[in-house]
Amino acid sequence: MDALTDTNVIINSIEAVTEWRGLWAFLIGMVGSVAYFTVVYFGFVGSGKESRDLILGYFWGKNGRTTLAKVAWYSLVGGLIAGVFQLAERAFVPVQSFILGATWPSIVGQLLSGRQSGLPPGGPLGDKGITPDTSKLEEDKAARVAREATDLLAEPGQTPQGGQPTPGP
Amino acid sequence: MMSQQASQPLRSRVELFLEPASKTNKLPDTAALVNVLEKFSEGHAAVVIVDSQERPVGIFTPSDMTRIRQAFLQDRKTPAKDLMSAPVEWVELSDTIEHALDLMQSKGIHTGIAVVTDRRSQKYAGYLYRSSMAKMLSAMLGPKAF
Repeated sequence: MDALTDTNVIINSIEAVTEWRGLWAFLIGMVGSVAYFTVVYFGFVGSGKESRDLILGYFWGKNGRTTLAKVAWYSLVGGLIAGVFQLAERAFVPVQSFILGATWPSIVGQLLSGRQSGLPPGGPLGDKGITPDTSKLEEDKAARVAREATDLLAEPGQTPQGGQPTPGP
Repeated sequence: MMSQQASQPLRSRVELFLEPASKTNKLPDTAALVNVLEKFSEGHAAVVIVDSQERPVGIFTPSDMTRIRQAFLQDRKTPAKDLMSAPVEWVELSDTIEHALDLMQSKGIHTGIAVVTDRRSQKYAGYLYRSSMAKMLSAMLGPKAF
């Protein structure tokens, strides 16, 4: 049964490539990603300015403005993910590709969190939302923020006042 | 069996797990964003702003980093209190870990929670990090708990 499924996926993949479905899915996925970015950029979604800035912050460069390179990178990944999901389909699924392109960060996040956690949900501490996994995530987040803060303090014209000495390049 | 094991440490008092205010993350409400960034760069995952009576009036966590960066790049002298998240959720030193976790869960707080000495004075006593709670609870429960 599994072998049959695997064979079907391989056949679908070959067909997807030869019939250019994969390429179309890739392009539509990119359109989905750009559409999502546009909607956030103009503030049509989100509970307020803060949530909008939080999302757009990931697209900012060092000057505090949105960089086209990051938008292109985001869209490229959205397109690639849409293309990968198309490989498992026998028919061309443009709507799925568009939705995947628009929502790929949450889909990837769900896939990763579902596979990385070896702990059963709702264990003795799990129902309190506290597990070694979340602890590790919090530590990683703190380390990332520490790096960002150090970088910001080291921006040209800014002399760190007290605190940790700024590491060299 | 497992829930009985877990219930004992969860009834422990907050003060056992606390990172005391003396070595933390506390800044006066006159501080600027640059001071907040210094605290973050020292490795604190949360920075608590206190008023002249040492009561927590605002907080910065990693989720505030985007707007801190934006404001800092525009004006490096921006006062911290213009951007801090307020009001601050807190627990008392005498509260249980279970209460602290329940409060964090219900309010969607991820990094940790501020601790005050008592309800009356609301003087800032320290910060209770979720990560340190997880480590200590894990050690108290032993490897079999997971």
